[in-house]
Amino acid sequence: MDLILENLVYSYPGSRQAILRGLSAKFSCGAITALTGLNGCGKTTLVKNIVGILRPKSGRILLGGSDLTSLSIARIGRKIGCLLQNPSCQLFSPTVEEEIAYGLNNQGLSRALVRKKTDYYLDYFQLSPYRGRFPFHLSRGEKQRLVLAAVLAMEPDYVLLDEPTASLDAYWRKNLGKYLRKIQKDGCGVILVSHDSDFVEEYAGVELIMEQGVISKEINLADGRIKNGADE
Amino acid sequence: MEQMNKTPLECLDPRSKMMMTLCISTLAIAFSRPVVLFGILLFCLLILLAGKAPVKLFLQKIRALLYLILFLFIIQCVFVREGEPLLQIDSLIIITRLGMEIALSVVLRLLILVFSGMILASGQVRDYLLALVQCRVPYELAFMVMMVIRFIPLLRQDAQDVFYAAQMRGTELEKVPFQKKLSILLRLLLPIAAGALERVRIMSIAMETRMFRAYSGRTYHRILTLSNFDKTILLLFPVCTLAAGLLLG
Ligand SMILES: Nc1ncnc2c1ncn2[C@@H]1O[C@H](COP(=O)(O)OP(=O)(O)OP(=O)(O)O)[C@@H](O)[C@H]1O
Ligand SMILES: [Mg+2]
Repeated sequence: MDLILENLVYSYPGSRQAILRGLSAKFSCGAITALTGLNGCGKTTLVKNIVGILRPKSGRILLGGSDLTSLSIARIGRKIGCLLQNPSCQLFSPTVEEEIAYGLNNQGLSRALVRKKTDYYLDYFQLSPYRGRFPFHLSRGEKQRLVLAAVLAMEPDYVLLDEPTASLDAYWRKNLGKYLRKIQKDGCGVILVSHDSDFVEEYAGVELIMEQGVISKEINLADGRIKNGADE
Repeated sequence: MEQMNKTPLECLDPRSKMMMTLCISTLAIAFSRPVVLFGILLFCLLILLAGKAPVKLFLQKIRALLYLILFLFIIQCVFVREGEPLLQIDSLIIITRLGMEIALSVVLRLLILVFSGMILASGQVRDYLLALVQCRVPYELAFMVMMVIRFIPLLRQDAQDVFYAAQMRGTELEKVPFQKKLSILLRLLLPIAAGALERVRIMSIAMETRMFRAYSGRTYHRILTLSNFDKTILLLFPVCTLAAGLLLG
């Protein structure tokens, strides 16, 4: 089930210049695709368009053939998980444990299953010692891990990660990479927005470079072949 | 000078504006009869129009709030069951005179508060800070009040982000019954407030490391002076407010 973007156009209300100017791209499931580009080129804007926080002025977003642009954020969220840049603004539960369970409960899972998954993700992201704590009192890196855990626990078809390594230490960077590899093998599509070029080179299969509101280059990181956006 | 392209309202001394807002909102809270409140609302609108305030633009900005006020009106109307019925379908009373009056006074009060706030909105935060200090309010206190006002747009951004995050994790906020929506919003209020407090705490530390309060006072480039018109307002408004309170109360 591919995620296909077709001719997306977006400009912020009140500004004349479009940030996305007919952007097209294809993301495959079972692959880690990196999205890179200079500061302010519109990566975050694209991510927000995909998950429905912003709505494209024109163009289509197709997942398995159906258009996402008219679905509610919550409906899109069932298929695409998303980590945004600022972790503090994505935490809203009284305890660390409930933060992870929140999405699972919304998925309508049985209580036993919610409990099992919550424990698994608390354990994997080494947050078990904090399970009863107020999420706001975690360190920045811990908050980042908690949001990651909460998003990944829902086991979506695709995950969009905006700067996931930004506040992680070397140990957790590596752990996250390993985890992304694992879910990739399980058939999840990972979209990685990052300035961390070492991380991208190590874990991503394809790198899309964004420039002037479109994807200008596609680099196959395995064999180094470059495809220009205009070639298609 | 810089007076050139200013609307009459912007030319007023910040103290006059604060006095007007204070008096009008006091009246709005003191009275509850819809007729009187309507009069106050008209008066407030008159001031804004005479001062050439951009009322239309302002209304656009607070459109969401206006819908909320309309919603409150309907709720208030429907939930009061006592009094002489105004609208009835068979034996089911839908709106009573009392309900209508209560709803009207709540809505008018809110509107007056919003519009009197608009008188203040024509000025800049630093002008009010200066005005408060010149009225001998301690600088620290005045500064804190103004910081809180400046934080409001930031808070709105934070609140929005939290709502989006909750929706991305499966909370349906579009097309759900209002009561359910309200309970979700209330639940999310806690982390937003916590985030705001955290911000203020961090900022106060940052300010202290930059020597805020290390000196007992500061000096200002500008000193506000009252024009005769301002003096009239400062005198007339409280007197009229008191008079209105005694006559109509
Ligand atoms: N709410 C907004 N209103 C208007 N313009 C905005 C808004 N948010 C972002 N922009 C502008 O849109 C452009 C793209 O921003 P965006 O956040 O998508 O960049 P980015 O590629 O994610 O950058 P970074 O690498 O710094 O995260 C920037 O020029 C930014 O100033
Ligand atoms: Mg960004």
